[in-house]
Amino acid sequence: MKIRINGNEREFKGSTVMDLFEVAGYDPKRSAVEINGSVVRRSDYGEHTVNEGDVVEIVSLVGGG
Amino acid sequence: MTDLLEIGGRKFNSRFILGSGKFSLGMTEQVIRHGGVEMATLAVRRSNTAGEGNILDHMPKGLTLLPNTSGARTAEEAVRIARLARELGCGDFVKVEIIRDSKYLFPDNVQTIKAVGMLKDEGFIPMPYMMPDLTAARDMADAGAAAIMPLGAPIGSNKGLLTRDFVKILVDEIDLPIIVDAGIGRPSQACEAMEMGCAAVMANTAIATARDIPLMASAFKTAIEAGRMAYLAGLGRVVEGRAEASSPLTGFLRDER
Repeated sequence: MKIRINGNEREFKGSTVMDLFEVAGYDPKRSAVEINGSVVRRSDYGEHTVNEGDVVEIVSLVGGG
Repeated sequence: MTDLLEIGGRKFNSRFILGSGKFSLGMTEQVIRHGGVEMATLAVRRSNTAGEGNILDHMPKGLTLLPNTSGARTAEEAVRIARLARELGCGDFVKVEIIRDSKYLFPDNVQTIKAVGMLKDEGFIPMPYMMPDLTAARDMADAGAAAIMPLGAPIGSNKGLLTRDFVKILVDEIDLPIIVDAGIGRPSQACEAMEMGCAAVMANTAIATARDIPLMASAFKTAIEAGRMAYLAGLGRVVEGRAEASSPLTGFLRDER
């Protein structure tokens, strides 16, 4: 299925948010996920499914004032 | 002397809040140590792929994290960022920063008031970055702000406490910690803010652009402590138009008639 991750359209073969981390290469311990504007809780990564057309933001903390 | 800063039910010995931008990851740790920092801001950004260092690995345990909502242009966007920050392990503190002006990076007080209310309702401890305006600050307080963070000068400018008279009004009228945020460029300016009764000072660029970064962090720590002590001590009064001798005038060289 096609989804959008951090602004880029990508083909995604997995099904859950946890699969996203593996495919996209982000560190789940240091990232938070928002799908279509809603935060996905860390404890739900294994069950929360990703669907065709989802807009996914994967974010982490950086230095900033 | 016990003189603690209390924000949102948490107590701090340090009144120096560090903005963690513009430092190398290794330097962040040093600045926090030299500055005696107990609270530091962070930003939320799209992740890079794994392998790069993460700033959380360079922040000491026990440091209170203050994620900002930079990048938000509306109250709703600020709330989205705050929720993500909480999920990233930041706790409930959030520096509400909503900016629609890309030249001066001035905050939007109207959107910020709205965001403070929304964040408070979700259990956050909102600390709004704002233009120092008394009416807006009262609205922030009513909406549930835990502290007020007026700017001293445009972000990153190092121009100092240009807003001093307006910040002083907030200190006098608002019953919340007033924390000068943005624009403070020198330790003397941080000291001045503390002397006039600000509860804390936030600085970032002043330290990040110094020649010796850890030394400047120490300088800010000392200046902020000095200003706080001066405020608690109560500044001496000012005499206009004449001098007032500090030494006794009764001399022995001649008899005064």
